[in-house]
Amino acid sequence: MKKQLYISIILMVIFINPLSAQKVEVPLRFDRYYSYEDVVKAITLLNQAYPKLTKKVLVGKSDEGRDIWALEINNPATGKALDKSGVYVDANIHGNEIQAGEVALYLADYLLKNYGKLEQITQVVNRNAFYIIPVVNVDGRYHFFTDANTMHSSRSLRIPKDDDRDGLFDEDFPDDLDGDGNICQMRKHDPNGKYRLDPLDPRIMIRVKNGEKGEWTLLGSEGIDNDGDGRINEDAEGYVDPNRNWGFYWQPNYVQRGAGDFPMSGKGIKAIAEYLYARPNIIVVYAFHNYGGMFLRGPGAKELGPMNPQDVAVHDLLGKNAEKIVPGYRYLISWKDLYSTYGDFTQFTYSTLGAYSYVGELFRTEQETYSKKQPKGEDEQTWNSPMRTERERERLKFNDNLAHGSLYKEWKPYHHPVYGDIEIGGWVKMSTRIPHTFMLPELVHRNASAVIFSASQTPDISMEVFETKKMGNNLYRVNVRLKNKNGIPSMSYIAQQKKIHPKDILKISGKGIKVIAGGKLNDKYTEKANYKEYRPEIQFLSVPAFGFVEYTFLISGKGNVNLSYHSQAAKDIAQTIKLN
Amino acid sequence: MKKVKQKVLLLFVMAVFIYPAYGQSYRNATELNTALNRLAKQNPAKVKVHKLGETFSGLPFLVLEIGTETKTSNKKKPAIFVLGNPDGTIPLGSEAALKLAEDILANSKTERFTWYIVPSLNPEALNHYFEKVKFESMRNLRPHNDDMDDAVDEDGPDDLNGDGYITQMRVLDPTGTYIVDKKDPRIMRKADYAKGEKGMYKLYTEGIDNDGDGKYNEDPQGGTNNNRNFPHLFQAYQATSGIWPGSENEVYALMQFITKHTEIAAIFTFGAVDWCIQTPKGGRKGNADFSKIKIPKRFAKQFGADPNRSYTMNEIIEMVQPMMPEGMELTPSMVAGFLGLGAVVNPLKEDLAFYKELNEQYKEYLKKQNINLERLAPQRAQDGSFELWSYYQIGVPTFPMSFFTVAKPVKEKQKKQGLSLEQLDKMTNKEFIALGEDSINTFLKNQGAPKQFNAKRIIAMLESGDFTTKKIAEMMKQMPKKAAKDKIDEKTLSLLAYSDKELKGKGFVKWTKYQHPTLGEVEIGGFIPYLENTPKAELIDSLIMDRLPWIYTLTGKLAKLSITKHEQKNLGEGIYQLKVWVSNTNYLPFPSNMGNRNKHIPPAVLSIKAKGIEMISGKQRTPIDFIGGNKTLMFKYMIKAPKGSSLQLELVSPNAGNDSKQIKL
Repeated sequence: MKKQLYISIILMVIFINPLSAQKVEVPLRFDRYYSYEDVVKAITLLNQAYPKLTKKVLVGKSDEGRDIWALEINNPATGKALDKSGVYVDANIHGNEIQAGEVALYLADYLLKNYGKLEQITQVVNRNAFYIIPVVNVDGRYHFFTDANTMHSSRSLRIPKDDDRDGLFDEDFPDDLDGDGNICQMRKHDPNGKYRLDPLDPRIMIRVKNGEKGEWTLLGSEGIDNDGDGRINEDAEGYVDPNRNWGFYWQPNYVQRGAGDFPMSGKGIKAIAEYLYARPNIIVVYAFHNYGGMFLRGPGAKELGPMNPQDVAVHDLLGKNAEKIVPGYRYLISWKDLYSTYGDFTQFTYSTLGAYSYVGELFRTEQETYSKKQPKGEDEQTWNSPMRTERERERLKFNDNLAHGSLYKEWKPYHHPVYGDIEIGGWVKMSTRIPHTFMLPELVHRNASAVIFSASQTPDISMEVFETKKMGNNLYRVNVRLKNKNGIPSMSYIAQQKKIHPKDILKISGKGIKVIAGGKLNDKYTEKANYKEYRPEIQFLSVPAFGFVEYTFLISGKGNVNLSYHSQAAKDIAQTIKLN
Repeated sequence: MKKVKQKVLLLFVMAVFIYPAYGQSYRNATELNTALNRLAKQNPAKVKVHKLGETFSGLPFLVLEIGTETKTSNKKKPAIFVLGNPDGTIPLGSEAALKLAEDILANSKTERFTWYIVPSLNPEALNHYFEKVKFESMRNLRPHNDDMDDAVDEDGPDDLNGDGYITQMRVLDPTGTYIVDKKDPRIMRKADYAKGEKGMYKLYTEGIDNDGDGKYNEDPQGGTNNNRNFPHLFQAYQATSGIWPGSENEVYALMQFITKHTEIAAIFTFGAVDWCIQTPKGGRKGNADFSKIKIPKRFAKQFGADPNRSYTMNEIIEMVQPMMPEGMELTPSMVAGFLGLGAVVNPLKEDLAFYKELNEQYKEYLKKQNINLERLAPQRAQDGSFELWSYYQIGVPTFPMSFFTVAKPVKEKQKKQGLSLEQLDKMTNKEFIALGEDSINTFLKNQGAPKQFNAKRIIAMLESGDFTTKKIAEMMKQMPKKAAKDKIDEKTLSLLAYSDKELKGKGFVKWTKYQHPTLGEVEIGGFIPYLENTPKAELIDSLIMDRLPWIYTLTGKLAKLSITKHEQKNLGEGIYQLKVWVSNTNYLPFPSNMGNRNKHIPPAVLSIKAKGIEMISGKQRTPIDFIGGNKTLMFKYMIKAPKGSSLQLELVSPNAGNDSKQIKL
């Protein structure tokens, strides 16, 4: 009886989850990709394996009702999460950019696995709170695994949009005509076509030059005209781009396609915004995407003007290190080096929350080599260049000899209801933007290490009463220094400039004392200071990167003096001295 | 006998309970909700209350639906959305929204439209009006640390003199920049240092420095003005804008509701802004002007265009279309997208045309209602407001209405302004020139014309025939009014006159000495809060009822689409040519020119339904994005069909009406 129950449960799991044949185990393996269900399982197992260090938090639901989970890593023995610097990492906001999720999972797994074993990791975990959302676009990831897709599809939020404005919503998806789980390309033999086959590798289509005769026509992605309007595949899922739906400098659809009806209209997007807003300690944000091999910082749009130099310096420190940690990746400015975007996530986290924010664009197709030479460090912009055919040949050889045919579908005949006899073939969905699993371990490790480097630079503030001077019978001067060991200041400059949140607070109190004057010490030798006229016992400040600030107080009275430092993104400090 | 008496008494009591004397007093958020629920209870067939969410403090945020389709979510009729009191400080707007609801029910105005009515965008701000101490604040109750210190909402104003109003404090201070006006010592104005005046006073809001930081009332209760929390021109980092567009529950809920209800064909607001009396404001800086587009260098090279020249949108489309992949039609929005032209920030010319015409008609209407039009101008719609969002991002005809502004004092006006724009509008060129250079210069100065716009130049332009008085008047109406710096502004004078004449002086608290704990001797006084937009309660009914019929006039002009004509031609061999004319038989466009630009409103779809036919040319479903007022579009099809087949032409638009026609081939 019991056995039967087990069997039926196992059967159920298999039926519900046909793709996750591989078992999920902690420590996690990274020679594979995790379906949405497997990601949830991985988060759950990590949480179960490290109950003290982790929390599994339901952030919200997606537009199709799937759970969006966060794994939070914090060592309660070293303080509450909210009292530490927060490092937020999310991934896979575009449903098709799946390896981003693996980077986030790897980061969690690696931190937990090495906690107490590697001193650096132990330190980073003890000092920070990590907030990790491995999959933002849970619907997109689910459908990317489950449905037939191209490497570019299932990117959108699942909010139906009438892309072709015919009054019908999402009615003409591509179709998996040959039933192989991929949406590939269609081509047709055509004496008037504009393409010919590459003589060295007939899988490659080459555009004919003027005057040359072609033999083939490219017909786009695999599919039929589902709605009978004469166009094929013109109204698939969405399109609402989850990375254009955030509430900073958002612009509507007619300015930027994919914006959504209004900012934060995606259910999961709004839930994450609120999750972040409730964690004001977050000072570093990484959002992983694919592809191109880049670490992008803001501004995301030209109209926003240049970023202030103080925050540029901090971004540069982390970004330039990330470039070295992940060779071949470039640290770039989003609008300038790519294009302007409105309402993207990292602009929101920088401008609205005041956190140092990066987009990590994972994987470079250039890494798919079949050559005696190492790949070049810089991205070669092979797109649309004469180099393209040569690159394509090399990539196909890579497919043949390193991926053993798993990345490319050989062209095969098919009878199409509109086009007649055609061929279907080309790169499959798990190609091009996504590395082969043999390359995944290095990708996840290097990118997670870029995050860990940033986490090692979150503000580490110490307080020192460096001078206590008796100035009269009942009068003392107390000089205090707040020093930051690390490369990230106690609050970002934009947060100060735009008053995103209050500054850090240095407060002097004590039963038997009165603070007569207090202010920022400009010169500790001449004791020149900017005295604050009102409430001198409380000073508002920030502690710069790799630097310090000094404050001086004139105190009357005797006895215990409590000094407390409170910061939103750095650890609080309390100290007591005695005046006598 | 006794029984009859009892019955009458009972009826009377019931009447009092069921119909409490609305219009006699302003209602707070809870009372408004009660009234909505009561309407639903009394009219179960036609009224439904939807709860959209809750305010920050948990007040229910409701929308009232009135119509004949309340039982279904599949709406066939277009709808009108009405938002009362968007700013939270105009309780009259909330009353007007409810009054409209009652009027719709009383007069069965549900034949053509469903009505969605929200009495207040910011119920928590509305409630400030009913507090013991009145302080005019547009903030909801989300805490906000205005002064970025260690406490939140800790230093709001205080009613020091205990009169129930937060007014102002004036303090003698050598660094002050204000002086007492000689003509009317109630008025504080800026000293004109150029004229040798010396500042004497500092002005503060009434209150003490609760948190001891040397500043007064700098961190009052609450945070967001919901009417600055919408995404069009959202101003981040302003104290009352909110955290992000839609960060406030009411705003998010409304955006969700309105974008979901694509049957909404027009939007009204009842607040401080009025586009029925003046056209929506233009003149903002922005680069989405489709008549003058610069092409960035990197694109110019690809297109073979000159990066130094300006192009029109049509020129660019002509230039780029041949480079597009086959079958891909280049639209203005695509061009705007890749050129990064950004959002439209000024009302489109074509929309201004109908606003202007309707403004004139409304003024005529008001004159007939014996309403004095010489009043203070209504407020301009603010960045991040519902009004702007509705026009720019939803794109249906949007009609903010204001039900009350203070009348201008008659005498002052004539003396100060001399010639009015209305008068100028009616003058001939000759008559105007005859006024002489001096008078014309005074007139220009009064109107706040730019310096280069002097009498000499204008006369020359008029004489050359390039210009007319009409054109000048029109231009001046479009000009932003400069705030008078050194003179006492018209508003102060009008409010004082209003207070004196209509309120027996009670609209202004006389300056009275007060011993302030930190400032020493001060005087407390000034205009009472809510003076500008909240008239005496006994006027509520008449102010609303005078203007309410105009709403029906406007909704009567909303686009109405129908299939007005069709023709067929037998081309032989079972091939037919079919022509179908679709008309907008009303004055207003479908949806609006802005709506055509932002493409938010779903298109009307003209479809051909029949068995066994084949579309040779034309689409079986033809989307129609836009039809101007009183305009007709013609659609051509070629169809292969057996003779004698019958076709069904169907026109479906969620917000401009449905139609269908049967055709026999």
